[in-house]
Amino acid sequence: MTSIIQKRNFKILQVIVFLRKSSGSMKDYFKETKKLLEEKIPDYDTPQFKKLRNKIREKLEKKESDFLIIIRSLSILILGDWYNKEKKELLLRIKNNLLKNGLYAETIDKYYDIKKKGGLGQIQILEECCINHQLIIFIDGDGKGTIIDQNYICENYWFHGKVIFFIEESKFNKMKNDPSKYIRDFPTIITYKKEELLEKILVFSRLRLYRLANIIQTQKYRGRGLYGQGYVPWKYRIKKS
Amino acid sequence: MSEEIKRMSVEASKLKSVILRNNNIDILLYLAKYNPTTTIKEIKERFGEESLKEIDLLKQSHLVREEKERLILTDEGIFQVEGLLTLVV
Repeated sequence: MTSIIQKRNFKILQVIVFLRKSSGSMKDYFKETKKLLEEKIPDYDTPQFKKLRNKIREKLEKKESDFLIIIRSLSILILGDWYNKEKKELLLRIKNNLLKNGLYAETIDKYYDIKKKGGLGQIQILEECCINHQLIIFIDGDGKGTIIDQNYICENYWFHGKVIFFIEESKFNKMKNDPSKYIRDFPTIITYKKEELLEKILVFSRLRLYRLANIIQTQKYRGRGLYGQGYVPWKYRIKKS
Repeated sequence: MSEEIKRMSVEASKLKSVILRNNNIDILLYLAKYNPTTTIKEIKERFGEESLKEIDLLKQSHLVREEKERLILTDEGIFQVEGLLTLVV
């Protein structure tokens, strides 16, 4: 069973890699993708449109499509400095790189539009974002906003499991032997050299989300964990022992 | 964590069933092709009165949003339609 799932996951990965190679760098992923969709989708009222729809339906009805749906319903929040043009562009490049590899990603600036309309504060925005995203990519920084983000995440232990903290190797090396430094607050730390950041974020995000999707799918298919009728939560098992 | 996994699994299953319902694949492809000029009236004329119920479900799944009587594919909607096309590559 596991090998079938792994083979299928690898196939999906191959499709994603193919799509990645066929698309260059882009400023707004969604605008560019929308344009591509307009070109790819045939005119309505044509036999080609119906053929495409039927093919999609046929594939989607199969169990094999479940993994793709699970992967595409998981989302990543990217947190990091965005106080100048260069930093904003870096976050945008990271986001686009994840999106074009089939991983849904957002930056927190999207939620600041809500701030304009509804007046949400940074902590409220963080509360909403951290709960609704399955993975938080946190890039070390020195901006005021990043330090607020960092303090918020550090205080809320239940978010730690979904955070991957990225820090420049040279900065990490200066702090690594001093457990009083703030890096102690992150259970998962990945170091990087400047030119490696995009690739490292993609690799570790993909591994984490594929693992999560696999857990979701395996539990569902095997009837284990929460899906099994005889499932007993750990807190009761511990009480009984 | 377990509760979170259950919630994610339910949401993914719900998303799949919403996309598969009635004419929803057609509606999503239509919006991906003709947005942002598509109006709700146009969808109703093309896909029937019942499509209004489907639009509500697509809205709940964050795939579309309504803006001044126009129906817009959200960023998540664009991402999901792109995913549907990867199924038939």
